[in-house]
Amino acid sequence: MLLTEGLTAAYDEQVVLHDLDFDVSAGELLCVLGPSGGGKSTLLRVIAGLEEPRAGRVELDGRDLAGVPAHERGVGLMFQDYALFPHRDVAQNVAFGLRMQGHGGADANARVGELLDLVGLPGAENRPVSQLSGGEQQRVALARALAPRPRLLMLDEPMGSLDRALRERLPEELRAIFGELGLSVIYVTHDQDEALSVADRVVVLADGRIVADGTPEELWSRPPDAWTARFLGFRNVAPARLAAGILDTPWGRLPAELAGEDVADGEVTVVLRPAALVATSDGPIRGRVSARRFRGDHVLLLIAVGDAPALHVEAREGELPAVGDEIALSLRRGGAHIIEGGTALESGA
Amino acid sequence: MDRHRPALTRRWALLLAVPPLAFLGLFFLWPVANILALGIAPEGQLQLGHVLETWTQPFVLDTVVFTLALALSSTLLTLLLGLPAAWVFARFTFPGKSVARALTVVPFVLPTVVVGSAFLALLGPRSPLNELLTVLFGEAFPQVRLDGSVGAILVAHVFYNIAVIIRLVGGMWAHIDPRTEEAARMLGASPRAAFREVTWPLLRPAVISAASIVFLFTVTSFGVVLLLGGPRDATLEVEIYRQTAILLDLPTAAALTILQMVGVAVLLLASAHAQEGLSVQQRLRGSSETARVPRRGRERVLVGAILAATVVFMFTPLAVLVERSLHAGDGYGLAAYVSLIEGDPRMRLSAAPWRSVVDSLTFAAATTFIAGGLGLLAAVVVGYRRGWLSRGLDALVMLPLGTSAVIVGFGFLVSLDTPPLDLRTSILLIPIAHALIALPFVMRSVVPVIRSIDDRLREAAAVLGASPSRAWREVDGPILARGALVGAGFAFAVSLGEFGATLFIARPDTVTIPVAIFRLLGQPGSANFATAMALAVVLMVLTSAAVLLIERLRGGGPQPF
Repeated sequence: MLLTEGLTAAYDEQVVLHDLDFDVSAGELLCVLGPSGGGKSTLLRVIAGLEEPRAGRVELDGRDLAGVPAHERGVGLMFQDYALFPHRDVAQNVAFGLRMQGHGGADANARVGELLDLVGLPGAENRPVSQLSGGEQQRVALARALAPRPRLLMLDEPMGSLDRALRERLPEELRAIFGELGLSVIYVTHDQDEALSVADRVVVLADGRIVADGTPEELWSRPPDAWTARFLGFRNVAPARLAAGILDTPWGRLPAELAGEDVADGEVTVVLRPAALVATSDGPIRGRVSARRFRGDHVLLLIAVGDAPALHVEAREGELPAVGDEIALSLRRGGAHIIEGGTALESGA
Repeated sequence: MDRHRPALTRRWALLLAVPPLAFLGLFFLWPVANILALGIAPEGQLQLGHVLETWTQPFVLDTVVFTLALALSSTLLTLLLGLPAAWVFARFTFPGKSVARALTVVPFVLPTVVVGSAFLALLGPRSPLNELLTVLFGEAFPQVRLDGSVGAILVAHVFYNIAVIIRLVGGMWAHIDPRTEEAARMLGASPRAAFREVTWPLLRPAVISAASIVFLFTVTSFGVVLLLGGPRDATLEVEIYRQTAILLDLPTAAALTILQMVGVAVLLLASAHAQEGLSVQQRLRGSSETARVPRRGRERVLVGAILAATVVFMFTPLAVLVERSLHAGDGYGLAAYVSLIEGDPRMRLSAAPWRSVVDSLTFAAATTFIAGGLGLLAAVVVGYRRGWLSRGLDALVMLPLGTSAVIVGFGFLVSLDTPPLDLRTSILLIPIAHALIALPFVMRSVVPVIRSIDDRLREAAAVLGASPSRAWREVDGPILARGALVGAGFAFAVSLGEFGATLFIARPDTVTIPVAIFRLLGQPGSANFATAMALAVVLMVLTSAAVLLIERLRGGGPQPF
């Protein structure tokens, strides 16, 4: 339903979006994931009509939006810190968009009540917005954005200022609400856990360019490059060499068949999953435990292997080695991921 | 969250409040009380009849109507021209913005006499516009003349007060989160509706505050009306001057004074009430976050046009002032500046005009000393304490700003005439009067600074091992010093430009620059006119230097008022 082609945006001489092509299908929840300053907010502002692109086009339901002012696009935007109207109470905030469409009176009141029920704030109509907690403000902002029934809803870091408990619970609620309404949603965040747990599809944006695009499962199981792998939270990412079925990594030589991919010989990037590394007396990786961190359901071990970067290992069972112990590790089948091409580890933002 | 505010104990607060209270009591309340007494009891007996009689005279009614109509239309015109400029300064960045912003204040602190003479030069018989028309269409072409008319007063009032709108409204506007307006746009509001529904309600308290200040300044307008108005155009302020200095009718002047003070008090209360009722708690943004480069196309044209119009409107009169000062005979030259130094018996000044520059600078230095010290004391009490003492002192310090300068001068004449306070002939009288008018500026420069000091800074200092007094010295001290410097700069500029009270109390042989300009303008001859303009240029340069220095010291800090 939403389509961008060659979208480029710049502030003064600094280009923030480079030639972006992407699309959102009807009813899809698309996450735009990327580090701060990667152009995520600018992308939303360009789609919203609050900024003019330098080049390229935005199409909504087949209609080119060039020259269509922000208030006529039928697109909803929930701002990062919500931008509630401080001089209006909750009901007036939520009813604003309805009033702009010319709906008032009992119908509008009923719709406000409905929306407040939907976002879990029944009866909050007459509360002043200055007395709302962060989570309540977020819900009011959501109800306000939903009220005029936008075709596309965009959320800019909706969990930005919320505490951890809310951050874990709210994405589920949001998904449920969007599903119920059948809305198309663009959800911007810098938090990979949030993106992977909430999205139908994730687009990774770095330095104004799309570096990855896929479902959370696809991205998680096959990160397309080293930078994305690291950004998604993978720790054991390193350049390696693949020849004759043997993967030569900085931590040791591993049989390439342990990885799922079928990759041609040559310079590659390897990703080892911390949970797939297990202590076995004859394992091919040999090192010394340099640190132990308790993580609740597992213990994270940092293993020093020669000059290689510390190897992260999630130990869950058996006897745990102490700091300083020598340890040998082997990799479970499917515990490695090989990315074609050499590693430019510092690429991206 | 006042837990960590250094406890300025009640005893200390009272002690520190004594000097400013004594000063205001002696040099403001006492003279004003005397005026009241004069009006109500001219011969020691209560004669309310005379007051009421005066109030109901037709000429008083006419004057009141004229004064109110003039102030109201001046305020509306100032808003009309000032709001677009405030928008541009608040929402956009452009090259030279900080300098342009600093320069918009210059007219505001320029003495009324300079503003008056600038418009006299611009709108009078020999203005550049008329010279151009004569060149184009010949001598017979009718001249455009605004001097001696209400139009000239209005234009000068707008010129004078537009900075108040740009500063106060623009200051608030810059801090309103532009995303609330964008949020409205996303909910289907057109740009106009978004302004009406979101920005305007948030901006309204600042607009009312600024408008009431402009109204206050124009309702007590004196120099501009005296210089530019026709012989029959008289505000209450001018009428009080006429009754006192020309007709020597003190009871009538006192009755008018009471009328004006009551009116001003009502206005101050009403505007405070209106602002309280309308103010909205909101999260304010740093002004650097909310301003941006104008986007291409229509927006650039609009921003450019508003800026150009503002600059032309504000600087043409000043440029004409300079041009007039360079007139010598039929050509251009520095004759006027030479005569500033050499003097001329035809000027009928007691000394060469440059003496007035020396006198003015001396008075300004003395004013800075008095108002700086007392204002700092008052600010410390008001800034660190809450409660009746703080609020009462604040109101008392502000009151002279709402009382006309002529009344203050008048009060001095009638009350400071008996030993040991026989100051009528004392040279101290002028800086004392100036200090009364400068005090509010000094106090209001420092109080916001004190209130903005983050308590956590003191806590951090305490945690790092500083005793409470040491923490105060290290944290509050330097910040206060900067605020005090800004306040002192204001005091200096206010003193340089003060006209009304000085005209009232200046002895024939002590003449400040504004008084000298006024006297020169009262003399016939084009040489005297050019000399007056030259003196006005000197005053303009001195005042601008003071203002630019204030701007530099203040940086992005809080605004006075």
